[in-house]
Amino acid sequence: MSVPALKEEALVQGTKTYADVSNEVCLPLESFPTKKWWVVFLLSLTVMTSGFAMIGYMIYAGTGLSGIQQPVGWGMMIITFVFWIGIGHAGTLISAILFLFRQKWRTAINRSAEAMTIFAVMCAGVFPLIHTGRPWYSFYWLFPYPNTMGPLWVNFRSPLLWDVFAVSTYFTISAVFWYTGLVPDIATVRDRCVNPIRKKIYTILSLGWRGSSRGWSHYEIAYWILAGLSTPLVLSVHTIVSFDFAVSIIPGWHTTIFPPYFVAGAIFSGFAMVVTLLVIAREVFNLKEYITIGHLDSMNKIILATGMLVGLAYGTEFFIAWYSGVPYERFIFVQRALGPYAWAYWTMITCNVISPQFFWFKSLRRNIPLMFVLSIFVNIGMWFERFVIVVTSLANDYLPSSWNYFRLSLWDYGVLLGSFGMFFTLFLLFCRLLPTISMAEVKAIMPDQSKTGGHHHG
Amino acid sequence: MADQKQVVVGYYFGPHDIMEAARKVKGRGFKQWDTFTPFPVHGMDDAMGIQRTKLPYVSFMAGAAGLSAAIGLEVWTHLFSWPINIGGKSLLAIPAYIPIFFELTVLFAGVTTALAMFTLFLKLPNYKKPIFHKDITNDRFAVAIEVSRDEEVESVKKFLKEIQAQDIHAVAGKL
Repeated sequence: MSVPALKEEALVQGTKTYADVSNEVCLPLESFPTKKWWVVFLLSLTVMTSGFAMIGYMIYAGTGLSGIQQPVGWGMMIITFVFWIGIGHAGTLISAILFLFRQKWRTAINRSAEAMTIFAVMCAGVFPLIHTGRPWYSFYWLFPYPNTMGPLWVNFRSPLLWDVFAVSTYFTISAVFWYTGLVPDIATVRDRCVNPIRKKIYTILSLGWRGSSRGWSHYEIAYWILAGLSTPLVLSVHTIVSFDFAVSIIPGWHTTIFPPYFVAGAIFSGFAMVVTLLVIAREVFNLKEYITIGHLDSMNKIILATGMLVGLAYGTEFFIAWYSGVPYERFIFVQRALGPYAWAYWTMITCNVISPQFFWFKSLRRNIPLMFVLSIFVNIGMWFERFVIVVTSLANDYLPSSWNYFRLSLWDYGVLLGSFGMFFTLFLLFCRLLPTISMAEVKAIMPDQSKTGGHHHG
Repeated sequence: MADQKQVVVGYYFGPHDIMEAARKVKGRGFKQWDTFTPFPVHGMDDAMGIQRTKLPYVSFMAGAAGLSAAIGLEVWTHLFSWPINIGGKSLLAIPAYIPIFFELTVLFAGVTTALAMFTLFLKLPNYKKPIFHKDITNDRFAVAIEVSRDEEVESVKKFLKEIQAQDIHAVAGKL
């Protein structure tokens, strides 16, 4: 008796053999970069380098070059830090949470999404360091270590310190998870290498992996454990980032909704970034049969769902501000929507709440130019969300005589742009040096290619 | 003098076939043998009779160590090394310690899981072991049986042929 099942779209399109997967995924690694790649790479590299030059001068001259002032002491740096950390969250969601839920479509996108996580966290890490003004002191400001300065320790009761632990753990575990997933694929690249220098490098990186079944048996359990650890970890990271705000007693920040609201926003912006990157990557590296329109459709559904969660959070915040009866709280929220930063607030609402609504329609979820534009809108919106949170609560504080209008300085724009340069430079290098699609995982969900009695086990 | 060890290798082209072969090889009771596949083949553990890994115990111990380290670090710092009285608030601020308890637990458990899996369980990195065919990481599924005497090589080759392995060959060395 056969059990009726929903007809599913093929995860890998066309009739491919296992060798086709290796050939097509490894092609960008084994051919000289195209002109397009060089143009984008050199552009990103230039932007990154100028961003770092600006950071260098900012550290030399002082953080006064940034737009931060009294009373807005947390400016572009903290906004952009939260923004990049959020971007990273989609990668872990795809690699760990969708893995635990056995969502097989993740196999085509998990590698690049995890790479994106790592690069986004690296970009994020730059900002608090510059924000300290003297990054070379950061080690003893940020990490507890035995020292000769008396008994002198970091403050474990401070959310800022929790953040140090959360972000550094997140980076380490993401990198370990990513590398663990890469080892079998690096072995594939190694076995294809012709050039002896490349072969040497990939051999070392592959750790001598041979694909032994006794090895796979341990490996798979390790992968499950890492996924199981990463899942609560990713939820904890943006929760703790939100504590940076929520634990303080600033109106507009001191709310219990922040942790889930931040996590939803992080996944929302992260998926938008994955869509932006993959729409380009599948085109440039000819991976349309792996990263199919069905994959993009699924991601757009997640963008819609998390976008609605974020919208609900915006509404709830407003309701609670009114319902609490606290005048300061009410004041801040009225200021957000109608005050001097109303332009930022409505940019945020338009980009984050209105733009994902297009994804209710299947034809629009599968429209590549539209999703590309919307994914960029979502990212702009999510940057502005953090701008609204940070700036509106600080600029109009308890003492009206100290109120001040906050503007980003030229240096802020430069450094912000530089972080995008860094992100794209790293991502473009990754696309040339490591397999962008997890070959071993994609092969495992393909139809069996046994010579005799093969059956579909996908 | 004992003969040099050799490995007899044969190939298949899909998970179903290699699994069938593994069942038959297991039935013959060879001491040292393994299969090599481009991706994890589900059901292989049963087909080969592989015991479930002990790795989760290592992960658990590492997580417990991470949690203990975090408790030790935070409690000792605040109660003994640098007690600071802030408005008479309790020195032992357990709720405030929880985020770092969690983070260090995950950090220790995650890093140890990966390290232990590669080094203790898989004995990697090891670049000395033979790679029987460059396509094992691509599209070939190999079964490899180690033999210690020359006269066994032919009989193992014959056995692999019986179970429809392709391109059977012998390599000097250990599995």
